[in-house]
Amino acid sequence: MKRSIGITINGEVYEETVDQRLLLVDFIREVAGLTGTHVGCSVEGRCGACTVVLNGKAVKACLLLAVQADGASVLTIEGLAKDDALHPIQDGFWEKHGLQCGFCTPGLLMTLYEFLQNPKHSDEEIRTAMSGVICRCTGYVHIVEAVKHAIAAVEALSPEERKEWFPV
Amino acid sequence: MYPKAIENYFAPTDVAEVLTLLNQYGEQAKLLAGGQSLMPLMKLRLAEPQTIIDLNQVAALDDIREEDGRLHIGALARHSEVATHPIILQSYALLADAARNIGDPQIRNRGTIAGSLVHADPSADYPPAVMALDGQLVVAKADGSTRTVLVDDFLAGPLMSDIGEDELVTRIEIPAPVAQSGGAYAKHSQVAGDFAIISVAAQITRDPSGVCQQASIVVGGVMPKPCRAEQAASLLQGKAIDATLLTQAGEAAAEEVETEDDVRASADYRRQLIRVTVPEVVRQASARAEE
Ligand SMILES: Cc1cc2nc3c(=O)[nH]c(=O)nc-3n(C[C@H](O)[C@H](O)[C@H](O)COP(=O)(O)OP(=O)(O)OC[C@H]3O[C@@H](n4cnc5c(N)ncnc54)[C@H](O)[C@@H]3O)c2cc1C
Ligand code: FES
Ligand code: FES
Repeated sequence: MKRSIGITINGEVYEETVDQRLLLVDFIREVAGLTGTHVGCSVEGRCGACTVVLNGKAVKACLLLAVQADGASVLTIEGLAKDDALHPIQDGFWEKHGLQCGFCTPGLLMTLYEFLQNPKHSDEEIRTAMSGVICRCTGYVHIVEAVKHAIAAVEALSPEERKEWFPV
Repeated sequence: MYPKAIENYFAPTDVAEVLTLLNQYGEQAKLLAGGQSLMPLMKLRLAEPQTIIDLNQVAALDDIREEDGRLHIGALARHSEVATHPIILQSYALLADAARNIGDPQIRNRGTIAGSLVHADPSADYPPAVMALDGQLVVAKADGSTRTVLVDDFLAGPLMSDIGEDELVTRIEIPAPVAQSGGAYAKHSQVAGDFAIISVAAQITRDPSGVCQQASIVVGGVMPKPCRAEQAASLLQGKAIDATLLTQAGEAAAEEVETEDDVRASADYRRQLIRVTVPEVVRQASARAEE
């Protein structure tokens, strides 16, 4: 029923003996105490607020068991900024006012983290990339602007800087 | 809204181990692939497996390759891999279209082709696409035997498929299309990333003069499972595909495929969608056959 697991989250290893039914999103929020990853719909996996990057891929953490991530590497919203510097995608949202209440924002940023490693540029491609996160506030227009801002910033990065901002 | 307690969790690394576990735990066990259908069902307590056999560490199950004139897609191939795989984009474009239409990027990063076919949602994207390509599933059994089943027979009804408790789908096989073949897939849904109200898959083979030699058209989003539009397909056979013929094929498909009312759309609206979507998809399939 219980199992000892270790998950690396934002570079730090969290070890715990957990119920095998524990969802990854609850491991992140309750075991690691990283509450920036949100829970919206919680059942059907539709809202995307719980999105994190698991071994380089954006996934909905409410649709995974924590035991499945044993030994894996997870990046959450708390892992994006470095010291005082915002990640380029965060900076885009700051500059272009890409959020209102902010509930969807962590999931959106983690989805876009994967997209920005190989960004495509048309409005349609940007909108497709964020179709897995529902925002009830913004109407998405400012978010698309924010992503364009971030794409330009990422393209201006040197290969070394890129590695630093996109470690996984 | 939390899964019921899970007694045993296994993450085997090869197929033999999966089959041994299936043999041992049988009816109380569930295979977990992408989890994009099973996890919601577990949270709703519509599935309450005591034992979870996680397939995600089984390395040999996810490759995509052509062999002996057939496309082999490993059971665990993610929707995102199928949507972008060069061989699939080149020769099995309708399958890439279908994969690209599933859910959203996060769902496509996890969900697998075998999981989708076993789950057998009548509004899912893969079932009509794999039917139009005459795909088969290769199924392994705990006793060491394997069987091959045509996807039309595998899909039994809404959320029902021909899979035993001691069986594992190991791959999907699709015969390589002959020269001058092309396919396309399109779906209509209420909002982005939702299941289909109506979807249409078409695979066409033409001769050098542009005459249609072979056509297969499948409509999804209907009960109890996707339906072949045989009359529409036979109308195309032996004729050059032009605007009039396309309209006739749309009319024929709307006539022969039975539609129903549900929460997403009325039977009538579905019929109208079939009427206009079949011509669109066949036109695109035919254009790809010419390339
Ligand atoms: C928000 C959301 C939106 C979605 N939108 C769409 C959509 O637009 N179109 C669409 O088609 N689908 C959609 N889906 C469903 C998605 O495509 C699922 O990924 C798919 O239906 C199931 O595949 P899976 O790998 O996740 O399977 P799982 O959920 O892991 O398993 C599903 C079933 O298949 C069984 N199974 C899995 N693999 C095997 C195997 N190799 N052998 C035998 N049995 C196996 C499992 O035991 C289980 O019973 C959506 C899902 C979500 C959560
Ligand atoms: S909480 Fe809504 S998708 Fe996970
Ligand atoms: S900013 Fe409020 S939900 Fe997106």
